[in-house]
Amino acid sequence: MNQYVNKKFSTQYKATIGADFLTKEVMVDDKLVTMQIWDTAGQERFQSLGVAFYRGADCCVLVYDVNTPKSFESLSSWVDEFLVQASPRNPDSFPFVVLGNKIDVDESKRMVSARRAHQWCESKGGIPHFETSAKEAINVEQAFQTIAKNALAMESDVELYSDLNDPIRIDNDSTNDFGGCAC
Amino acid sequence: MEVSNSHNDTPGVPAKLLFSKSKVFVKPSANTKIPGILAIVERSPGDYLLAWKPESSIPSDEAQKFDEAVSDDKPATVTVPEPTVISEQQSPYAFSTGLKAIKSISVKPPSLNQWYGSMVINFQSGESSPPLWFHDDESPSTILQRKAGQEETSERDNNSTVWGGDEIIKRLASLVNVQKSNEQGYLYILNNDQNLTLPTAPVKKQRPLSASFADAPKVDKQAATSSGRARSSSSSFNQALSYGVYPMPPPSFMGGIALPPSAIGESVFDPPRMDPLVATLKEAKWNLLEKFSQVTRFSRNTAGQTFNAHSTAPAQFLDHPLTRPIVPLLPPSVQSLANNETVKATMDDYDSARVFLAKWAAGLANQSEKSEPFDQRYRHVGIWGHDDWEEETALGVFEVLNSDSDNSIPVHTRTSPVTLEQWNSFFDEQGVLSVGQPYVREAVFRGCLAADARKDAWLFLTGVFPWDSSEEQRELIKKERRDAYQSLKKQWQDVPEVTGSEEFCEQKHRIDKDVHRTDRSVSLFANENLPNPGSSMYTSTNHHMEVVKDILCTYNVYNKELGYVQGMSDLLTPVYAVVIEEELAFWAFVGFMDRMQANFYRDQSGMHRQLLTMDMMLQFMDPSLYKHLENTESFNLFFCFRWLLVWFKREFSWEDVLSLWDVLFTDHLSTQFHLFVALAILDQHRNVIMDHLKHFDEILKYINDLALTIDLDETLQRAEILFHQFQQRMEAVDKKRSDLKKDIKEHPGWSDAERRMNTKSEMDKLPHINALLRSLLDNSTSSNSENTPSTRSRANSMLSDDAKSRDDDSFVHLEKSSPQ
Repeated sequence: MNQYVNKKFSTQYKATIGADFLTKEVMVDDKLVTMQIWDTAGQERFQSLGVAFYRGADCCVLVYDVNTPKSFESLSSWVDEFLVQASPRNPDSFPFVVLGNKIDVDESKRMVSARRAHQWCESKGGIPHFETSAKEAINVEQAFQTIAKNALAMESDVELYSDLNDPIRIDNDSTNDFGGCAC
Repeated sequence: MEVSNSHNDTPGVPAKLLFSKSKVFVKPSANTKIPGILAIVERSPGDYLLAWKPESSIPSDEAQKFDEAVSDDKPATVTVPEPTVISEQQSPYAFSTGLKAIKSISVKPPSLNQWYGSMVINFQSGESSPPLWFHDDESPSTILQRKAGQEETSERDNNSTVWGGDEIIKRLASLVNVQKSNEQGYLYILNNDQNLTLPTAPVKKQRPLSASFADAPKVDKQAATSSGRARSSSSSFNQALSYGVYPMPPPSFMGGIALPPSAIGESVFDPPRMDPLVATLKEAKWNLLEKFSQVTRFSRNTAGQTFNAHSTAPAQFLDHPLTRPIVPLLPPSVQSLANNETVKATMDDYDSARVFLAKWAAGLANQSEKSEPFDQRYRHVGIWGHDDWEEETALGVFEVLNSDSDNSIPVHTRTSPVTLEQWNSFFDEQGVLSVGQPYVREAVFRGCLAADARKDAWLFLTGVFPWDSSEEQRELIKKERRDAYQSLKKQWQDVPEVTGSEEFCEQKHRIDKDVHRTDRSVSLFANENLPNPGSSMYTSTNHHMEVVKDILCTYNVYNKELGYVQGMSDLLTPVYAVVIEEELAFWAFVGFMDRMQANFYRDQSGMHRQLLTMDMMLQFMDPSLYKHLENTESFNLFFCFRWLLVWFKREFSWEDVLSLWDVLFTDHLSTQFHLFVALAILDQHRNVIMDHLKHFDEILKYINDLALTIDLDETLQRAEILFHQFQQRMEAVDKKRSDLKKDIKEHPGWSDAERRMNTKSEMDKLPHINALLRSLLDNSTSSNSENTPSTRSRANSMLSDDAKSRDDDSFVHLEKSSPQ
């Protein structure tokens, strides 16, 4: 998140407590989009308080550590948790993006192969998958471009079908993203 | 007297519109705002009326005339209410009055504490209008006027920082004789009868300047003629700030109001100018909002919210709202401010125009507050938010408590830190405390601890050492605690069954990751001079980080039900850095966790409880801010989460955290003094939050970004004052309730039925005080809870499912009993 927005990476980032977000303007198909990228605490027990932030999200970004199988294995439960809490209009087509982070670490430590992650994403209906390094700024820009694009696509879908009594929270020039940073 | 109180059936009288101002609000209560139009009209030559009517009562075809009246010299005919002080058919607040019926006008220009300026019209009859609030930045007429100003000469730019009250007074002064009272700062007397001798100052053509400010007028005049905006150039701006004298308004102050020169004639007077700081801010807000309104969510649809006053964004006439670096967009006067470090820092961290402005306003307010004489600085602490509440609660008592002249306004008692020498003097030759525990707690509360006295003190305050122990006993305790720690540590270290288990590995990984990102800028934890023993860690480590990991792993085993939870590493590092000895640091941490562990419960009941207490406290202490938070959907107070979870660890610098925890450990005034610290921070920023931040995400961002900018001393002073005010209010409510009860008891007769009913309804209006709110008054003496094991076992029992459900029940109960 910081790599993407501020072009900075520091080993001294603190663990997120509560919730925070950064904003970033991106051009998607000639359209200026302001993304709000939310970050909530990683440990499950704090999720009950993060619920408020799931609602109204346009895209959910799930991050695992390619060197920690556990973080990959818990992706399914995060997807379920998110869909329950956010209760989006179309849970089946709600955009997720999966990022396998920390590919800068020695290849010998790698525990989750790109193939395995890819398969899982396919099984979930073709979730876009990127392998990234926040530290080395690998694939970060591309990943967020996809996130913005998918979020925007989802928004125009909703606009098409939304009824007036239930206005969506997001207006034309901003989209919300929930980024569950699991590392 | 011209006021006629006749209530005609006719909706109003036609009149020539001379001047009008829209978005002039009447605010009958904290969350009701009625937008209206304040207008000066001419009914027949020489017969002028001043009228306010709610915008809702204005036909749409007429609304435009009102908007255009300021920028257009062409007379327009509009309908105003029949002259009457109160015209109840339209709105209880609408009025229309002949200028001769106005005795005086009291004016409050915008200030750093009050973003919008206001005025009250005092009629000859002795009645007064409600305060009229000028929301210039929402007023279409002002927006049009500004737009016109931008297209014209630099002279016209001067109107950019004129506020609505200025314009009204100026315009009135062109019609009738207006004099400034020399008794009160901003009282203007409309002197219709020249023979009357009112206690007014003669109208001055120029404001006398204090000697120390003698050089400034030249600068100002030059600036004013060359460029209006340069008027508040840094030199005069700073002088104005340091001398507390405002630069003279430039000659072209009349701005967009086209007055014939003759009209100005004799009526030149000191206009109620706003503080140049505020003027600069207001100007900046205009420019920023214009440029950024589409980028930010300013124009976001706020339907369904009570606060929709801001939906009239000046976005229509904006062309390309692309984000650009901010500085070049700012007027020169503001650019010079950008050299200020605080402002620079906020600019670097720009997120949205509103959050940006809020931060900036807070920075300036802070600077200006600091320049106030010390004894004045906290006069207003905690007196907020009760303007309307007295009426609602029929309490009246708060008025007394809040009055500026009242001697009961609490003061803080902050003093210098307890030195090691002083600390040692608290003990006798055997090392037994001789001054009494409350004395020690109070001394530490008031002054914090010197660094060299902290280790011993924290071992007492966290419950490792009993307060009545002797030196000899403490040596025994140390030995016993060391052994106990080592045997706990052995339960996991070098035990493959434990360290190999999936559960342990997961926790160990979590601990490793967190320790490597906790306080790494503190020298103790900064170095990486050891290879990392953790198999999944790719960075080097150092001795202290490894000890912290061991302590956390041991705690994970010691408190099995809870285990390690994120946030605990933040709580341990200061304790470890102060105590340094691994074993004792562990037990000090255990003592600390006894009071903190509820924050980490799986069901979040501890945090829920804290936020609920905070919620009720805020509602009790600052209903206006509370309403605002409710309207922004921030009522869950989630933005306080981090503060409360780790005791402000992330909000203050390392040294300040140690000092703050000194205070919090004492439980001197309250075992939950940290909630008063939270209230103090909110109190400090409440005006900025209420004026600038309209959505929960903006508030969250603003609060998160306060980290490392909060002045600890000031916050502690404020928190102490707020505690005493809280206590006073609780007592006042209790007393009122018991008085009313007594009154009911003493009037049992049937003839007193009505009186009893009234008394009862008065009682119902009293703020509800429940157990959570009352618990804020518990302290070390009253509760006797000294971080003893008993509190821990009680807390632990809450972890069992059975106990948890009981606890949930109590929440339901508490929520039900809290008002709303």
